[in-house]
Amino acid sequence: MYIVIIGAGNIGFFLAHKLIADKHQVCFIEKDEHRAEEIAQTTSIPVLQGDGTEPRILQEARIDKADSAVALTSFDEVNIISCQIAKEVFKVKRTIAKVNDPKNVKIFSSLGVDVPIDSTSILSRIVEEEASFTDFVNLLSIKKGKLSIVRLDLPEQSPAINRKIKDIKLPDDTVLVSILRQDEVIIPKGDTVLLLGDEVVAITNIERQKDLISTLLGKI
Amino acid sequence: MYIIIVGCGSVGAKLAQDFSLSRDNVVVIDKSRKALGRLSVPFNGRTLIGDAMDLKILQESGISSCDAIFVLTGNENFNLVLGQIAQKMFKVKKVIVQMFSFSKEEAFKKKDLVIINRTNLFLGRFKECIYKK
Repeated sequence: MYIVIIGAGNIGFFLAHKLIADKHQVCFIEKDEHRAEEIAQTTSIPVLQGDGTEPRILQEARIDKADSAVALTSFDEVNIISCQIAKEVFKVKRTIAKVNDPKNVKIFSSLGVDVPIDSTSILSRIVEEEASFTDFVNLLSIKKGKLSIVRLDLPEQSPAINRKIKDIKLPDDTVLVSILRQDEVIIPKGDTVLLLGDEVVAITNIERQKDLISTLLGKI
Repeated sequence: MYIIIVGCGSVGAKLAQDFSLSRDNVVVIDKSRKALGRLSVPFNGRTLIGDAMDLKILQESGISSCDAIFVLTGNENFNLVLGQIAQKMFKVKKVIVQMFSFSKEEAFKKKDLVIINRTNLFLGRFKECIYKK
């Protein structure tokens, strides 16, 4: 595949190396002269110095031949406009962009960026998960937050411990997806018995989340 | 008329003042308090300090019920993005966007934005000085 990366910062640089290792072709567009020069001198990755929202530069990078365009600059408006031009003028099928301000995710999607990546939220969620000692973690919200994938670590006071899943009355619109028990991944069935310390991954309707917590953790 | 102006530079400020003199309702948004200081008294409109790309600020400005929005900051990519937000997310009928470069205009012509290219305007006037009386 051929991928044009707009913005050769840390993420772009790392991504390019990964893509090249996987036998893809990559071209950078980088506005900063020093950075562009540095990349040209220290790597063999093609780099164009210029503005990634400028159609002429995109053309020069042969973005019309690209399978995807990835916009990773630290300016949200630049990332959106680059993706829009790539898509609408050069018919690039897939546009991916870094969202710098998490507030802007909705704007990226409504202005046609195929895959907006909100790195700040992703990172802070991981940090939150690692830093908190709570038994309940929201892993992912989908369908505009209506549905969420959650992880629950069964504590001692859990009313679900040592019981078969079929005997536990789960709230409606809730499915247990998997159980992580030490290094083992268990796909839950009716006969599976939950144990202390099990990490249960579930999909649930956001409105049922409280019920799920009280059923599996025994508290709200 | 209910008009929102984003970017309180010399043009934005003057425009806001003119509209407010002709009794239109005007809201001016700029991220800098200093820029908003360009609006000399008497100015009867409202001012909002903040990032106009922030949907909360836009809602506060009453964007869903405005008749027109002028996006006049010095950053044309920002202007294009904000113009499309007004159009797509808030259904504003008349969206006027300031641009400076020529190359991008083509890509955004199809959208129903009114694109005012400042460079082009100047060029036209300059040429007129020579070719027309």
